[in-house]
Amino acid sequence: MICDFLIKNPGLQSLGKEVQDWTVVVSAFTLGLGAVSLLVLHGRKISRKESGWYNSIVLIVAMLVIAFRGVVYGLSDDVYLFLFDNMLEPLSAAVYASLAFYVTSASYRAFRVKNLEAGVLLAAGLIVLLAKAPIGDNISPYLPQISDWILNVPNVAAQRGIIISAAVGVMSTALRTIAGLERRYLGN
Amino acid sequence: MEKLINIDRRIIYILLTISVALPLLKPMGLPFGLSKETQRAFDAVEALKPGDAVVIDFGYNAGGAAEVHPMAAAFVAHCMIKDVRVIGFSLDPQGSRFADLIWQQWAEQGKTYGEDFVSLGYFAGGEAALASFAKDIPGFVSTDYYGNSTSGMPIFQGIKTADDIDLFISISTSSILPFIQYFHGPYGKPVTGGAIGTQISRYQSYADAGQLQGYLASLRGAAEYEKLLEMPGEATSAMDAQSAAHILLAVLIVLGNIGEYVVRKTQQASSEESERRA
Repeated sequence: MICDFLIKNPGLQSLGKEVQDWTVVVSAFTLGLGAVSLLVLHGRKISRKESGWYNSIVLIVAMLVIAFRGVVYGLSDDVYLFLFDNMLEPLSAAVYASLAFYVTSASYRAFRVKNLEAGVLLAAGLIVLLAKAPIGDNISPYLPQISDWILNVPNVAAQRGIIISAAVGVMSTALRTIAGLERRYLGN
Repeated sequence: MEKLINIDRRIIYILLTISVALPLLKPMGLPFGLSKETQRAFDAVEALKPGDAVVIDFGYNAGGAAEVHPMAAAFVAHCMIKDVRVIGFSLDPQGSRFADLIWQQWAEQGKTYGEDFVSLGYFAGGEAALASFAKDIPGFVSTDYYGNSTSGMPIFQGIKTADDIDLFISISTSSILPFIQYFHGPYGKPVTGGAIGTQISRYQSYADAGQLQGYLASLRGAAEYEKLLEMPGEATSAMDAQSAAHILLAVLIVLGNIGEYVVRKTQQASSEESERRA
């Protein structure tokens, strides 16, 4: 795959594509494997009547009904679309939206100035927080400019450091794996 | 002052609910400016000519749709206005359903499926799927989201590899970076996109390096794009609610710190007083 990425050769590219196609096929199978794993896990929970077992019934019934309607009647099936639009979508959105409440409460409790570093972090956080909403432009025209500076200079500097370090780490791990020096993924 | 340090979380929840609900019910229409990155993303689409081809990933699920779906709607609207061919797929199993909602809207406005736009559905395999798609687009997608054969669809005319695509757009709740790795790196193709607010700090480095032609940052980015398009939509109407929620959070943080400071000073003063008496 590395050679395929770096060298423009029709033979290598065809071989690389074959491997990639197999990866896609195997990934598709993992979806089925995930569904079976969920069934086994929650089926066991129900049979043993573990705490919250009734939630597992809801999960299994919902999964089977959606999968059955989607696979048998197609993705334009009315029942499938009804379940997606009126159950999955609002429930997922509600769960995600509830994070806003936790984040607000947690930020209020955690952002306390106890030293200089915490003060700098808080000031940067407040500036970006206000500048990222329309109210920031209305408070002061300088607020978005300061926010942009924070995001473009200190943030980018730190992000680049993280990205470059992570890339070097990935390369060294890959080389160790190829050379057989890294065997932890085999459980050794 | 002690109360300021420890406001009951239920009060915070109620305040947040009110601060979000009120502006949604009665919008104030606060004006807002444009960020450089939104302008760059807009310019990347604006530079396309009629008949050019764009690939767009609806890589989000129901959880993140509220934040990024308006971005996808705005990008597609811009492409449709410019008569650009749009090839859509999703790296998230749920994304194609959201794409479907956008396609239906444009089909009702006279755009033709298979000619102006196409929905290829979910691509399993993540990055491997992107790499394979880039090398052989017609070979990788033999059927569309609805099970129709893609061979012979006019939209794929002249499209063989990623080299034949004029712009790649990734709207994702996970990462838009694979688009840079698989379409910009090997093929040098322009890439833009949109992401949720918690991820945007990662993308500025790529935008500065020219690997990303700007990006839409959270719902604000989508609202800015709607403003540039002169088509106010979902994102624009949510901006006042976002302002109110951000102000509430800032006020709560400041109040908490004032309370903490005053209590600390009072405790210091009383301990000094008791030491002096002793």
